[in-house]
Amino acid sequence: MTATQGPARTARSWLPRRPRSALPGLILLAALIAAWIAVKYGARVPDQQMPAPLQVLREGWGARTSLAKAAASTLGGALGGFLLGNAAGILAAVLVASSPAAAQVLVPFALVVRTLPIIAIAPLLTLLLGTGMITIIAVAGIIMFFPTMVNTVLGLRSVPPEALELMAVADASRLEVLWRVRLPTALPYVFSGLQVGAATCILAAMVAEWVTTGTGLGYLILQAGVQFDVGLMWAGVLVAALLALAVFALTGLIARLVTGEEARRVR
Amino acid sequence: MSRRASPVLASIGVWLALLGIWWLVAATQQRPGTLWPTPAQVAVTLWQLRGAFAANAGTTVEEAALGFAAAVVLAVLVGLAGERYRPLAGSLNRLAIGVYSLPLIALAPALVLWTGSGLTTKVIIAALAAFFPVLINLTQALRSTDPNALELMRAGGASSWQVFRRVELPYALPALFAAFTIAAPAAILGAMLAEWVGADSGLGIQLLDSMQNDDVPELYASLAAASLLSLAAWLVFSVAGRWLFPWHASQQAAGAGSQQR
Amino acid sequence: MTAPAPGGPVTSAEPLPPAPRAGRRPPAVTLAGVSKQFRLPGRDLVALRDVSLVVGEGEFVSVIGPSGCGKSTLLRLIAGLIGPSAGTITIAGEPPAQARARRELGFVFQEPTLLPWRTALENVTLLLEVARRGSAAQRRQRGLELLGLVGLAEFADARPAKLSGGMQRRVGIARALALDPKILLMDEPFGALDEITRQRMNMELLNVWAQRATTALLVTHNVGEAVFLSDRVLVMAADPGRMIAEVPIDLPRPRRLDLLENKDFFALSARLTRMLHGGSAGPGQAR
Repeated sequence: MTATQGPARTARSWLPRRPRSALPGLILLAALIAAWIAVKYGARVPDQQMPAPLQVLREGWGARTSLAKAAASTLGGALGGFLLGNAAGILAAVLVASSPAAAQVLVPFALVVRTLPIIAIAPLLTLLLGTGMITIIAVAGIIMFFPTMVNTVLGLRSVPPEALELMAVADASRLEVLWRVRLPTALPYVFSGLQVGAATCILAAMVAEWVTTGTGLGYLILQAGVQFDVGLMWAGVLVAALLALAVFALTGLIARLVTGEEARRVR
Repeated sequence: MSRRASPVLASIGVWLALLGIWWLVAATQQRPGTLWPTPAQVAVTLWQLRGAFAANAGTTVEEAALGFAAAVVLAVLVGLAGERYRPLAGSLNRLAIGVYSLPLIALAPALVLWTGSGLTTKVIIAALAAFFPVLINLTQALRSTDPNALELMRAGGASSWQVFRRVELPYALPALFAAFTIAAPAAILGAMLAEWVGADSGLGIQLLDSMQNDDVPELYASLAAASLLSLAAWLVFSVAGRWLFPWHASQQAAGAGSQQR
Repeated sequence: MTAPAPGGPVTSAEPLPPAPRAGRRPPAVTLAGVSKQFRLPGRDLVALRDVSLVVGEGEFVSVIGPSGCGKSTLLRLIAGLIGPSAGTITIAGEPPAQARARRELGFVFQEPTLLPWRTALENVTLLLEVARRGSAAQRRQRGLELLGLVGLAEFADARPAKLSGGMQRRVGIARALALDPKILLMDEPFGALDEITRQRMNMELLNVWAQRATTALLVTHNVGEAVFLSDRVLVMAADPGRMIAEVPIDLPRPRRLDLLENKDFFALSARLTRMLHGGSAGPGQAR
């Protein structure tokens, strides 16, 4: 039998949203720096308020060890929260998907929590867990948990009915259906929230550091500002921006790799 | 009708259940300086300090409202400009999306150096938090105006302004209100976080102070107050949206029962 | 073996007699007095009322009918995906659940719905993995065989997004055959295709069926397709869904595409079309 028609002209992606490029963020950062330079030299703003870019770089380089340590601390907290929050979110979603009653109850609940000021929970967590890294991880984790859970539930539920019927006709067990059909269907939905979630975890970690104090870029920027160490402060700001961009780009890359690899791996 | 009510009831049920669990846990932890006050104790604290809470809430709301208003005005202007001048729209959209990758709010301490610890800083941060959800939703809404309606107007010789007023704006308003339900709570959160960087009053400061004073009931009460405020903001725009635009698909989806075979 | 008068409804209190070609073994599929109701908010929908039929082993039977006559529901009842509200369904004398447990059923869907993250080959071998049949290499071998059967061997490693609609459907057919089913159930598999592709796919389906001596039950709204493929055609009506006629197709096998210009073919198609019209204008509630 010969093939009568060639392959489709364009392959439509089955991802709900393609991973975003970090380029817009980079452009935005560059635009902000350009605006900085324009304002500083255009309006002749004194160094005390707006240090010269070169000075910022110089001071940043001078403080590179403390900047690096702070960045590592923030990254560690954000990463810990990111991983834990996602794992918990996916697990919760699987539980919710196995029980339609639980889904009807928990998903609206999660949507309501979305409107609450979650980062405001940092002071409470500081009292409960102390001022260490664990609080930072907890804050970032909680922030990551709900969107991931909602996205995953959406994905688990969006399996086309024919796929489920196919598995039923072949007498597949519920576990098989979950593993072979539901989870892979949900994967792109999970990934669609991960990029922005990763950057938000960095944000959450930095804000939580204001409250817990001690280490991290958020704390460093706050401290430098309070002590009027303007050069160091803006160096910290620059490092924070670059860190967030890097995390954003990396998660995008991983998303592309994983969903591309899906096709080749035989389960 | 019962179909629409039941998820709401279920949610309320979940909240009540959580409240019950909290009460049980707290009851076993009753001792001075406990980290688990009962809901009753929190409510009592809220009531006893209601003057302070009202004043602080007022400050935060003022900051958030100003920031929200500024954000909306700016977002509408930018969104419209982007819609009218297509080349601009592309770059603006890219910039707006770029913001997702930058922790702008966390850079608030740097802002304080310029604008001090007064109202301005809080308003700016709140505006930052509210601006992008509104802009992005508005841009998307303007872009997805029914092209048939646009063609109809243009074929009938309508001017640019008329097209905007009679077609684009009505089409975009429901989406705008939907964005408000996200942007308003975001503005409140932004205002509170800005207070953490330095302020005299506000719910954020009250929250931070009660942590530093180890005043656990007041901490919970502040958290509750902040949550209620956020929910209220969400509710206001949610209800307003449903009341003003009942004809819009986004409002109908919530009410329509699903017919399944 | 007498066919009912054209246009006249037939009471289906008794199972219709199987075609003479069927063997001596128990019929592959038997439905006796099957009804199905769906509970919708506010009312009950009667999808099928008192349907009885028999499909002999190795037969190719088509079911035609207007939209809403419950043809798809019928297939799903046979596959055991849903249960009847009344009546019994047996597959080779046993309940459908048994046939499923023994993996004797193959189902071809209206929309192929291939899993987008698996290649064509992996979609075909999916059920083999679920049934844990053979080693990975054996499964791969079998998958390639099946794809070769439908003419897609060189697209084994292509993802569904790269395949046209017709190709995806062929993969769907290969997939349904993966477990070597005794009974092939097909729900309007060629529904949205253009005429030329449909005819080619009909030929491929006949080849596949002839090679495997499977029992085939095809639901379609296309009268010509039903006549071309089947040993018998069952006619249904809507409102409520019920069986109104059965027409044996005495055209010679193996069927060839030139049959489409045969006058017997035309006569049978015309007769069935008349029955379809008669059925949908017949007694029943007005919509």
